[in-house]
Amino acid sequence: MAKDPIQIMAETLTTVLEDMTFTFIDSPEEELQTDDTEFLHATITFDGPSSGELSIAAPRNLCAQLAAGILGLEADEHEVAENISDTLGELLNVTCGNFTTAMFGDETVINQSIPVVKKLDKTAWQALQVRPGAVKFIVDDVPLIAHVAVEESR
Amino acid sequence: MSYNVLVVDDSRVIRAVIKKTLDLAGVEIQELHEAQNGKEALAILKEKHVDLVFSDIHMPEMNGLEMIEQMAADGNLRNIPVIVVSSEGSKERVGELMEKGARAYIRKPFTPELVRDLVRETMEASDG
Repeated sequence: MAKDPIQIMAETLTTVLEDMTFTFIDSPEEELQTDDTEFLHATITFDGPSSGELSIAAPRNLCAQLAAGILGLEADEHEVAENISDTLGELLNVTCGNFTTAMFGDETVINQSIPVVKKLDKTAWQALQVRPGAVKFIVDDVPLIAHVAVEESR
Repeated sequence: MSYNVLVVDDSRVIRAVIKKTLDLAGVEIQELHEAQNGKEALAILKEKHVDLVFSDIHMPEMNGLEMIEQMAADGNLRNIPVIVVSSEGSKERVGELMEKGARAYIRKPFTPELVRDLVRETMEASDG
């Protein structure tokens, strides 16, 4: 495989977060630290000549902040709480479309699944950091972990 | 020039992103309508005056492609330009959408500048 999926995931997610949420993104080398205890984990799969899975996980507070920013509301408003999972899922959905095009080109038709968003505890969050294919981000001073797994072309 | 715009997407978050981007792009909006799928969009199009539609492809009940096909088959709706908004980038899929009657395609994420230029081009082509 000529292209590095981790690098492409990092570049794609950075662009998506900056353009859709107007946040400042950094990619730290060191382990991510947070006092948060509630996390959300969005996962999406893609299938075509190549297949794979992308995911992003972040503290619920960051997801609320991102949703509030997009909706133009305060993070503690009721409508924001209703759209937190949708926000994380849509950010991953857009990331996946751009990732697959960057990886496999625009001549290839790739089908994406609907993003699935689940709650995550701190132990599972910490385990994600050391999983092969993980990419670490700091979004407005809050940690976010992305993960990518691509199967070789069939 | 201000427009009546219809934004069609099953995600409230994406509808909000489109609204915010139109605002940042300086596109003057007279009335902004929202629909969660193609079926709701067609009902609004039959009731309200709409100059421009932004639509997702994958939606429950009626997807964007079916909506565009039904608009193309309706003499009162076929001239309303539809800009498809998606994160898909395959030339085959985009080609199919344009063949069915979409006027333009914009890929998420998009910048206000891109949206401004696309709205201008689409509406100029529509007026011409």
